[in-house]
Amino acid sequence: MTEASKVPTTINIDKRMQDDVVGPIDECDYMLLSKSTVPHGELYLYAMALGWDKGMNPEMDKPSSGGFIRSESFSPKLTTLINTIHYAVVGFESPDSLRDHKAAFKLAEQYANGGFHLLEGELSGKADTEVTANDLIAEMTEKWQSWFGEKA
Amino acid sequence: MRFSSIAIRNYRQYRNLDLRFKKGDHDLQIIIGDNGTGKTNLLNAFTWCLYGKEPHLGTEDKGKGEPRLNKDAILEADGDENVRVKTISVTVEIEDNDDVVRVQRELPVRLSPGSITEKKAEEVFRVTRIKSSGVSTATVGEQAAAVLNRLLPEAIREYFFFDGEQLSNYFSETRSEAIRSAVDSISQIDSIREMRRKTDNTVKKLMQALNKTTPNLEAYTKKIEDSEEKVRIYSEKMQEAERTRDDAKRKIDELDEKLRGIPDVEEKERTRDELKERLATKRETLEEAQRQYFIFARELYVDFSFYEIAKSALDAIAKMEKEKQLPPSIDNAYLQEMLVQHKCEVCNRPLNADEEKHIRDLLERFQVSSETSNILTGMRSELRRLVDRVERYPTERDRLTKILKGAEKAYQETAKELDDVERCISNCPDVPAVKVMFDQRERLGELKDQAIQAIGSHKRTRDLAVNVLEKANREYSRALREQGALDDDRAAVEFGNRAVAILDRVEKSSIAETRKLMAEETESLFKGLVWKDNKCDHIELGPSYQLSLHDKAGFSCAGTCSAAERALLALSFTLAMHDVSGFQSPLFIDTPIARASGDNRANFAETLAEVSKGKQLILTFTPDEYSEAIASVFDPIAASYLKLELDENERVVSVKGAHQ
Repeated sequence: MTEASKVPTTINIDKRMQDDVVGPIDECDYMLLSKSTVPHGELYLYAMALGWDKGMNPEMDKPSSGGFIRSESFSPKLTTLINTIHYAVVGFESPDSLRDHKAAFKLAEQYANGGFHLLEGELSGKADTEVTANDLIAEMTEKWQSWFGEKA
Repeated sequence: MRFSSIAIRNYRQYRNLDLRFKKGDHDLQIIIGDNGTGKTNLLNAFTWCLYGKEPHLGTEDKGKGEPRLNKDAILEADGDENVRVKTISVTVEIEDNDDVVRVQRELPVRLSPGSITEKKAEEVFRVTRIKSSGVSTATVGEQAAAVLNRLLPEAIREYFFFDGEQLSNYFSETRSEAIRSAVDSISQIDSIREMRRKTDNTVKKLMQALNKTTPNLEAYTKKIEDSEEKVRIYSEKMQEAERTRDDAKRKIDELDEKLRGIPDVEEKERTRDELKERLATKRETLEEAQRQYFIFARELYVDFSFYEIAKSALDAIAKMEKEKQLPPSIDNAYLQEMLVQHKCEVCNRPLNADEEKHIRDLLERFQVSSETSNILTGMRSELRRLVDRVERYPTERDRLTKILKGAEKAYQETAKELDDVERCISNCPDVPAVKVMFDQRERLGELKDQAIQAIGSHKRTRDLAVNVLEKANREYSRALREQGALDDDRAAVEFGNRAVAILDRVEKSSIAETRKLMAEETESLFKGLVWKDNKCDHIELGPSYQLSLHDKAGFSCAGTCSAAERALLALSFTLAMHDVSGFQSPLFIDTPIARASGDNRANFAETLAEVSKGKQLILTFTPDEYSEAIASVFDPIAASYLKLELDENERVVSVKGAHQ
């Protein structure tokens, strides 16, 4: 049986990503993800999705001190997806691995870190919310058709 | 009645001019003259002779105070020290049935070095009626004026002496009262009114006499007088309100004409402000739609990214549930501890062999720990929602896209509307002046509405007073009988009152009939002169003889008439007035087609040719105005064709009569 671990108090972010990505997003509200628009958990979810979608999960160079989001303020969706990533990576035949919260958080941090790197690249360009939204819609439409075989 | 001649001595351009207006099948007198030959002053010579007025003087004559005395006469006097007084005289001869009425005005003018003084006190105005028998009756001064006034009333002179240049302003000035007065006079409605007034006075006198001889009548008389006073007051108030309404309507028409094609800037500014507010709302709606669309894109992207593993996780959980691998709320750690301690962790009772076997079976069955089970159960609903959202993606995407496109379209349309209005405002010439006009128009509209309400209110009050008056008259008659008044006196009062009532009705019906006939005749003549059939449907004549043209939908279309058409409308109205009233005065029209052109000129010639069969027409033209189209109609029928020419010094006008 997998060793259980306690739920970490916070989930973390790379220090540089915090400064170079989260800070500018809070200012320009890219993809309506600034702290003033939505909780940081939404940004973290988006970063995790980007990292997962593009298969990018680099280790953090230097975690930000004090953590990024307190786990007690996680939305059910963030909690679920942190666990789901872990579950998928470890294997669906090993459900008890879900008790290892520390490992789940680490994995989520890596994929989020990958996503933040991608966001960093977008921000260095023009980072237009409307353009990105339209690109995402086009991408999802294509994906949906490939999954369901119908015209979306 | 017709003018047979005019003799002019020392008057303005005319040193010595004799014109005879010959009779023919058509009493059409054509006078042609270049500008400056004195066509308009011929018109002035008539009005000066008849009324001592020169209403048609050009601005040049008015502004410079040009002497009335002919310039050649002035020069002649300068060269002759003995001749220091010259006389201006104009004599007009009028054929009135078999009589000749000679009207003569003479004005001595004293000439001294550097000054010319008209000796008004010595002016002579003389009217002589010469019967066919040769007997003549001469009158002078005020008596002569009264004689002439019966023949050609001065109050309505502008309806037989026209200046074509001023015809277009015929209805645009405050003249409805003058027109009403003229129509009343020409149509003899004045006579009926006068008859009514005299009859009423007679009745009043009779009643006063009866009051002295018959007791207890004063109370009835007082009631009649009070009611009459009330009727009079409210009739006057009604008329005043009608005048206000008509005046407002006319001013509104004038403003409408000035404002034709010019936008109501104030209204546009209000619209602009409303549009700005609406645009701000549309922008908020658009921004909200965009926000929803962006959030949808972002959130769904997260869902799409994890869709496959979410689906796999859900499948795994479902499989575990199916195989009953997920324990109820029992902690495996507890179960294992009980096996180690051989006692129940809940009640502390020792466990027997069967019980320990049961616990081992449970541990075998629930391979997943309770904590894991809780995690998986917690994940399940969130993962289901994620999967559902992905599967319903096209529906939600289409819904949000439609909202977004709709909001974009609404925003763009409002922005364009605002842009149009702002362009319209910026293109408007002299915005403050236009605003003032629109403001005036609005206030006049309110004034008109108030006047219409007042008319209704005063009419109700007057009608009530009329009922009271009629009742008072009946009571008075009854009282007369009861008080034993003489039959003859009583009959006279009753007859007088009936006569007054009948004359009231006659006056009203005459006015209504005259107005109706005049509207019909004006319309008929106007149709002959020019008819904008595609625009105008019919003509209406208001209570104050205010003409209005209406289109087929019943809306006023006078504003779309050109100045020439309005001049022809005025001419039609005047001809109708003469025709309907039976007033057979001549018509002198100076430059009648000043503003008309093309077809209007030809129509005009045809119409006036027809009119000249029964009425004398004296028409003056410049050679240019007397175009081929007009000449082809007038030349064959003109009774006289006179051409005015200035001498080489441009001081003396002479006449050459082609048909003289």
